Amino acid sequence: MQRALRTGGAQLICFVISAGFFALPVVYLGIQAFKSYTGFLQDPTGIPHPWTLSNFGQAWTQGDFSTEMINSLLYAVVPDVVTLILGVFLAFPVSRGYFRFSNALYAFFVFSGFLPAGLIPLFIEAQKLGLYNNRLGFIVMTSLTGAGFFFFVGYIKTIPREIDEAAAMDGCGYVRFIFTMIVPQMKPALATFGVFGFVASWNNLILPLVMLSDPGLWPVTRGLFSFFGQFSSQWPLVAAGTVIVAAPIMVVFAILQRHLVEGVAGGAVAGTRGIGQAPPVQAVDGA
Amino acid sequence: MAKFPHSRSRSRRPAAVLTAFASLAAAITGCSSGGGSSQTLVIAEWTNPAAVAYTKTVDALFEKQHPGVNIQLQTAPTAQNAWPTLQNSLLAAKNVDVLAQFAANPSDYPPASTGIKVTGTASLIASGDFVDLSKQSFMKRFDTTSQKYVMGYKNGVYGVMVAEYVNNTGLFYKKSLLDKYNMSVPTTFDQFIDDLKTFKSHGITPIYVAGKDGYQSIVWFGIVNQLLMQDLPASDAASVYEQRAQAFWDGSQNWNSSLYQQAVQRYEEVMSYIEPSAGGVSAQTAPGQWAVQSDDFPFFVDGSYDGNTIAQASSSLKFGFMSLPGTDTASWNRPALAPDLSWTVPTFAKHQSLALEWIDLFTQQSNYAGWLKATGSVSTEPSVSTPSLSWTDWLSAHAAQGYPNTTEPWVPSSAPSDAGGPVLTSMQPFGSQSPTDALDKSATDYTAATKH
Amino acid sequence: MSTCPFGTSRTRRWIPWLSIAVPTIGWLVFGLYPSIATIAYSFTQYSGLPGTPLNFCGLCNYRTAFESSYTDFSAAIVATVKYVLGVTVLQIGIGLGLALLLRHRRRGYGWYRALVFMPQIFSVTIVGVLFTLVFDPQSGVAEKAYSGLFGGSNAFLGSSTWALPIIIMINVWMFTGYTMLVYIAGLRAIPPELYEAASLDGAGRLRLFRSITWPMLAPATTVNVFLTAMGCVGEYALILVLTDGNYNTKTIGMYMFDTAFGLNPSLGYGSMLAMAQFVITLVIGGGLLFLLRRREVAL
Repeated sequence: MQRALRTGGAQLICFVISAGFFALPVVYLGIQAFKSYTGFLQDPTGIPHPWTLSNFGQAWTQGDFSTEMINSLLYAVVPDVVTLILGVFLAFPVSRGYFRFSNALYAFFVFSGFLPAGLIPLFIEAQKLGLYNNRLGFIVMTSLTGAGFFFFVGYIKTIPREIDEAAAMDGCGYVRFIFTMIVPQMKPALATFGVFGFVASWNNLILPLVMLSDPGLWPVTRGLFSFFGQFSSQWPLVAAGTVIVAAPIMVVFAILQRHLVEGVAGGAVAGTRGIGQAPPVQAVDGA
Repeated sequence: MAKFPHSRSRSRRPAAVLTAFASLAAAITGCSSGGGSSQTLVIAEWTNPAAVAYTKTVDALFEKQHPGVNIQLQTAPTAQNAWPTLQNSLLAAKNVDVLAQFAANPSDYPPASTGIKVTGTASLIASGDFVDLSKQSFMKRFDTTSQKYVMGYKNGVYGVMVAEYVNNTGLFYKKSLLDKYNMSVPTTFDQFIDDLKTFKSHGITPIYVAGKDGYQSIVWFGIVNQLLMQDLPASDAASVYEQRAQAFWDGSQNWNSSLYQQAVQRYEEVMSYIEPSAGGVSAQTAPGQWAVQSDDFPFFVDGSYDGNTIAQASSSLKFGFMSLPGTDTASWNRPALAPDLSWTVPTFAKHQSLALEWIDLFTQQSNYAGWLKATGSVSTEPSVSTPSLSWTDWLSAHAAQGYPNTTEPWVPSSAPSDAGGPVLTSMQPFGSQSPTDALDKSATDYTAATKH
Repeated sequence: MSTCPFGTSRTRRWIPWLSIAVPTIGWLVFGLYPSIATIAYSFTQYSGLPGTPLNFCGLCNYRTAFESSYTDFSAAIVATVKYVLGVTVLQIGIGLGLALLLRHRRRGYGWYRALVFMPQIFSVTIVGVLFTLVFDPQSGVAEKAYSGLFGGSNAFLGSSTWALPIIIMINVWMFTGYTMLVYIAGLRAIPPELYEAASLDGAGRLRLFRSITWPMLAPATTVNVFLTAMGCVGEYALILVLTDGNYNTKTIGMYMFDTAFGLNPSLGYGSMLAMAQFVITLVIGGGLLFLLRRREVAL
């Protein structure tokens, strides 16, 4: 009896903290989306009365989100998958020390991660390479940056190296080994960085703003941003647009969240030897 | 130890993945090249809902008159530097035909002897990136002096300024509240302060200001403008401001000179009547909040560009717009005009003649009148009058007395922010710095930044 | 270096190089090159606007920054140190507290952890919108809570005293879930036998935490402190959307962004600030790694 009370009490505390402090502000924003403009102005902090769905319809058409959603999915999913694969191919030989100067290369990557990012030179370069205002170009550019690599190095170190030799003895090829042996073992790490990568690309605003001038190529954040500028004082509409844009990330997050603990844990703690890269935390800074 | 499946087909799966990517890539490239044969005229402006909507109207008209021409309108909000970013990428890609710019002014070109580098719009003009429009026939529709003032450089005029607002000195008021206490629109500083006192004694908070985004500067610069320009004609503005910049540079004037001491004293007096915690009020929520609270806040510090926003937030509110009376002489308390959107044509524009035709269409009387009505802007075409909206009665009567805003003394771009005048968010009542300290600090920093 | 066991004797030398080739080239082209080009801008008075002259000026920007009268630079460094310190201390404390609370594999706890982690999936723009709304002193919900609890009113993001602490708290709100997850992993890696032995010795809860949990979490603390501090040294996006650097919140990252971009940009000076930020990051990061590692070894 006493024990049941205590677990009940712990559950209650956990619920209050996680829901009250972390989820409530987001819910608060969501609620605004159901108010009419005058309703919001008259009672900015209360419950909507009456509840209305018209903001969502208006936001959807005004923001032109329908085509942008498809672009966003493309820009988020393709680079995400490619980056993860490239990250594993980069991290594996580095963590195993399978080539000369692998430690030096690792240190170099760590070091250069702190250099200032150069948006303008990047733009000029992209233009020279013909990647400007081009869907494929944009995907190429965002796919080749190998994020998550630092964590993968740490994670792969936890996979015993004996299996490499055993597999090689069995005549297993390199590519095949990585896809059939390493990748399955890295599921939590891949899921974690899958989420980070997806979130980062989905939220990215500046790069599409700079690299994509044709509105037909825009992702949804670009639309949301124009939308903010246009309806800046109409909070319910802004809230509705925000909800529309955030919904897909929340779905991805809900599906993959169970892997997050192991993913973050394995990579981070194991990768502590020589860790360096500004964390994925920063990658989320889309705007 | 895991048993490995037979390794004959070792590369089949990766190959399958590659094929999938290849076909996806083909699909992607397939749809990225669109629109080739018809001409695409690219126009870019920052997001201002009314302006964008009206530009689209003109675009549609233009497309109808020019079959085969397709207009692409690029917009981005000025917030978070989205607009400058977009503008830079369009300039670097040489991919824009008509580009909106915030109007420049003569002080943007400090004398070469100062060693200060030109920045912003002025640097684009000085580098020859824009087409000289002075010979274009549509320029005749505009007042030459004011166009030269903003977009002129040497002998050319590199843009056409089509929007102008009252920003500094801008003040909205609630007609019902003024009527209730038998007040007319105040015309001198003392009258204004008396009104504020009366409101306060009745438990009404007299002034509403969005301090989080620094809108208190409207009051500060408003007063400085009026003290500097006094009742001189608008055409003297350029020389008044240049003399002032020169005096600062010579060291014969500085931020702690008597004019600024006087201005800061008046500013502080006005600020003693603002709403509590004004420093946290954002410009995004302020117009709507002010509009719905019809029994409080008789005055609202904001530029005329928000007039339509206020009207939209509350259709029942009777309100007006006036110039803040910052001095004791009624004739000095005129509105300062803030030149705003100016169309330019980059020299690299692929469709230069079409771009010029588009500006011509845009500035035709009837189209331009529509633009003014949509944006609430003051007219820059002498033959088109500033439209009368429900809240513009004072403005329509007094806009003609306006003059362009004061420009800043010459300051290198790497100078600390207070070299350009007191930082209002750090000065009382928003910050902790006392007004005299703030002015002295500005003066010291200005001197240090410009020592030569 | 160890030899790659894969491939034939001829190919095995090349396989690892091929494996890293594509991402490395991608990094050089799209990561390193633009960064180095930016460094070059720090020796110019370039505005950053395409089509305007570069105005090479040697070390002029560096000289300007170190002239003592230029107060913005030192104020930015002070604000940055406060910010990094505040975020790191709070995020470690709160993250550890949450980890201790939510580490269990009980029903519902997965969802609690997910909720705590959730804020970091939102873009800074959305977080900015959210908290601008919450902290509006006239129409926000924070004002109601504040006047109910303490009476009076507070300008929140428009207060020179409170703006920075509030942004620090919002930063912690966004990213503490990550810190918590790293700590949970650390907690789960502690062998339960250690606690059992200590309990037999009659150690209390606090003793257990001090003598077992905290020392055993040293590697996790190293990771957390390092990642948190490094993650927020250059922060500008959150500050930009919340206060635009006003009210004592102009950190070096914000100052850099403010100078390098915008309508009247001076990319040259901004690039110098970016270099300064890089040096600060290296100093803080190197110092932290040194201290934390020494602590780990000592334990």
